[in-house]
Amino acid sequence: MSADGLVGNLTLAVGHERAVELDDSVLWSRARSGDSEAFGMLFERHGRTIYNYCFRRVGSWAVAEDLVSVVFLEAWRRVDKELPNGKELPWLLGIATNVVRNRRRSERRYAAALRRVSQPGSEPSFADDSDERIDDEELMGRALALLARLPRREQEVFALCAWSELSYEDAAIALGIPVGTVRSRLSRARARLQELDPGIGHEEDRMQAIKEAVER
Amino acid sequence: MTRDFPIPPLRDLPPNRLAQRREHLLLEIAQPPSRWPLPRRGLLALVAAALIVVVGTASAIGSVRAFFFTPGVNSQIAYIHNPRAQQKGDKELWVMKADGSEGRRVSRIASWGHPAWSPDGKKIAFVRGYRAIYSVNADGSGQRRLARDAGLPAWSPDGRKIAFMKGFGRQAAIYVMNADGSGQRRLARNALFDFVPPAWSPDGREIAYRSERDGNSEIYVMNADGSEQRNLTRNAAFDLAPAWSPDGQKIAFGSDRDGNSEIYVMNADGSDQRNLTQKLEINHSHAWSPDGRKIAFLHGCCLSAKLYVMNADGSGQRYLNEARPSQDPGGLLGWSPDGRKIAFGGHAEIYVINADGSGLQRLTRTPTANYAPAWSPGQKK
Repeated sequence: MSADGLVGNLTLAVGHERAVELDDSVLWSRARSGDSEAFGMLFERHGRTIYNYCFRRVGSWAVAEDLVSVVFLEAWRRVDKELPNGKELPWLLGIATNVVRNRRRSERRYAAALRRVSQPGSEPSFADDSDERIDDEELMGRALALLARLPRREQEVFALCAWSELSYEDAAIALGIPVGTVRSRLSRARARLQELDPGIGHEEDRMQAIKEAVER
Repeated sequence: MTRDFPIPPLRDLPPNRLAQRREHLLLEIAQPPSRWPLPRRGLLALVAAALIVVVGTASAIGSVRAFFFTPGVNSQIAYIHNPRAQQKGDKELWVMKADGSEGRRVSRIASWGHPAWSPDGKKIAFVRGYRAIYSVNADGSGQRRLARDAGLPAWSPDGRKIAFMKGFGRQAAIYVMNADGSGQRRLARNALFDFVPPAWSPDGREIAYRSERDGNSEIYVMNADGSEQRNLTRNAAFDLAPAWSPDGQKIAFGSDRDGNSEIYVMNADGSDQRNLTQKLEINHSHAWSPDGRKIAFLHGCCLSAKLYVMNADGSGQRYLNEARPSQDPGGLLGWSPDGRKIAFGGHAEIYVINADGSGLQRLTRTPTANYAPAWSPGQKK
């Protein structure tokens, strides 16, 4: 492992230790009073979720990485906001949804900041799992191609509930819509996907069948 | 909760990258608020638009002259420019030289879908919404509406007629009209909206299109007067996007009959249907090179689309570049008339690359999206 990686791991470990002690709402209220370290801890805690959510919306790990930065920069811009206790992550996912929706605008807004972090020489180097990541992008591209045939609102609900496994209540907070609307959009999305590809929804059955056949 | 369909597993940001991003985040938010970007999109857009207008007008005079008075090849690329950051609203039709210079706006009311050059390279047919087909001279003069409630225009090889689609869903039908919009006539009912226009055979005698009248999407061919409609694919799978080879002997099309989207080719009578892209999953947007020896296509969808070229028999598949036609609905690749270059949309800009993968060039550079490049037909020497 490179020296950089080692330092990164240490930072991560130390940060993690500190972060587990405080819950999100404490960190958020500290961030609101200007404590950037507290905000940094929120980043460590939820960066991964946002990263994976962004990947599942755009289909590229490299883009997702930039979007994580954008999401948190955007969150800082709105750091005055008072959030319901424990709903910091859904709120961040809501910001991520907006960032993805207005991706070009977001990237433009933070272009200077992104340039500063993406200096030459800091290209993503995933070393061990780069092959898997390429496969991921292929697979995600296929899923997104199908999802793209849904109205945007349904795509967003579907990505939050089905792909990021958010509860209806949390998805409602993320999107700023009533819980009933989340339910109805999700069921419409499922029905439409089913129509587009009748195999959808039975993937797990299929996988199970394959597993059983192999084990036998 | 079920994931509904397979998606990749969760992954971590590599630890060093996570730390780097965190450091960067803390540095950025430590900046005084004055360094923070404000939402000033309106102003930016205004400045950009003003620049485009100034540059566009100045260069239009030169390029109109060039278009009419320069002997030799007037190779041009028409494309759609979105003047706004959001997707709503009219788009613009632009024409530039094939090296990206002398771009000029020729219409303010274009929309999704490829602009279609008349075979003589003098006019461009385009669509506004899915509401109407217009044509305009390549210099921006003489814009007129040709058909209402219509889309996907395709010029006949002699340039005298335009085939197009009218209506939605099961009401969709293929029509033909004279190039001035007169004499509209229905040729085929139960056509289906496709990503590509109905395809004229190179001799202008037949038209290929897709229809679901037999229960699922199939490729049909009819005579250009609408007679002798025949189903060429007869398959339970989803077949679409027929494209004639330049010699009229073969038709390339998309099909998911082996479980994912592939490019197939068949003889023009429907015989000998073959999968050309077995080795790669998800392939589409096939485009024959002008000499019929190669087919360019996109592999992968949406943000991960990649531009490939292969020989017409499927051999020699070769990756050229990322394509990422983010806002481009389909039928995205344009060969130069001499077959040496391919224009494509990527990252919401127009690019050109040599067919051997060398010489990538970015032709557009605007704050908002550009897509759907269409190369003007070759000039006879």
